[in-house]
Amino acid sequence: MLAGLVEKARRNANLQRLGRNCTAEFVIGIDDARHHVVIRDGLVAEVLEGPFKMRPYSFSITAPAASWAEFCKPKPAPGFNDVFAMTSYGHALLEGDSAVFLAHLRFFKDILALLREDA
Amino acid sequence: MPVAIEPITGRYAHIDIMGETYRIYFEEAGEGTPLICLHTAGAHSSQFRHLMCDEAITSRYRVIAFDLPWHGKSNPPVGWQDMEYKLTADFYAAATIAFADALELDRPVVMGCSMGGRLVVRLAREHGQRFRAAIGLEGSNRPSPWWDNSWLDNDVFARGDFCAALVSGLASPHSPAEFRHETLWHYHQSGSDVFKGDMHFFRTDSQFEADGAAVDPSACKVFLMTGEYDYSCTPADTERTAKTIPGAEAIIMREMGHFPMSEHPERFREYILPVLDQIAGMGD
Repeated sequence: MLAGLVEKARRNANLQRLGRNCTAEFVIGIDDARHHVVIRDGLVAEVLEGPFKMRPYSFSITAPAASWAEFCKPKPAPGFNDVFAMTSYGHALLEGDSAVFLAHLRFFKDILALLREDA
Repeated sequence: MPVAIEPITGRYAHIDIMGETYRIYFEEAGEGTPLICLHTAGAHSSQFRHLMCDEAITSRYRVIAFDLPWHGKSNPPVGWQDMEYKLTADFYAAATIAFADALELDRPVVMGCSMGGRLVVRLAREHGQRFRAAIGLEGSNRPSPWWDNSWLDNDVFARGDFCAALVSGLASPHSPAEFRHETLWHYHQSGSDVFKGDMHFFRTDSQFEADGAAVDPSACKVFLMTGEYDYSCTPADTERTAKTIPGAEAIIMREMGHFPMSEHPERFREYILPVLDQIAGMGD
């Protein structure tokens, strides 16, 4: 699901413009797997495979693999088309320092949109 | 080739609402039964532009949308700089009635979306004799929080891009990108304080569960129309609300999100035209 994310983000100049003031690390949880997405000045610098014992991060978005699979479809089913749709219906959990997520909300939502099959 | 000019006209009216005079901007097109349109929180009347350019509607309905005070091209009250904007249910209802009275509209249909969709439940109960029908788009009878209230007081709310990103997922992935993003642009440009002030009504001061039962369906029939992608007012919220209102009809719109009239005008007309036909058939 995360394969190619760094490259897709690197090619997206508008995404980098949106995130130019963002340096952060967040976690995408898929079932029990933990993927750390490292952002530097709007660039998706790398995706690191966890789990890590003590590596800090700002926030995590965790969902079962089946939920992420639906989210990643070009036109997801109702309840799976947006992080807030997923958290609202209980398909995903947003945890940690959500202030970072909300401060760069459009940027992070656009990163997640790159996970879509047609992105 | 002649320039494309839409049939919409915009004017200003000076209207008294709860003891204060407001300069109100409104747009309209068409002739026939008045159809008052209420925009969503943090937006303005442009959301209804497609209805005003649809001859299947404007040949029978006078479609009128006004910007609430503080929104779009309507003014806030004089002295706004020394107050915090907070929309209350009383003011919202009073503004809608005052607008209908000022324009001398004869038993208009009222149609509101989102916070406007919630208000129509109260209007149908309190002023059912004044409206021939009420259409709640993405409307329910109580707040259904899908985000944390505490963010209303966070500085991050003070940005248009945040307001737009907060609601972006409420538009359906099936809606055309052009119209989804036009809808979000209204949130970008509308002023975050305005959106925040509307949330006072939408999250705190719009508990209308007790209102539904008192609606007189012989005076004002209620239609509740909701997109299946709406997680702010879910289809379940809508069907639950409709059950509390005598004679109310719930219509769930396939592949539609929270902003039907502006995010997917072509799809929306498939749903709204039969409703407008039904209302036209009710007579006076």
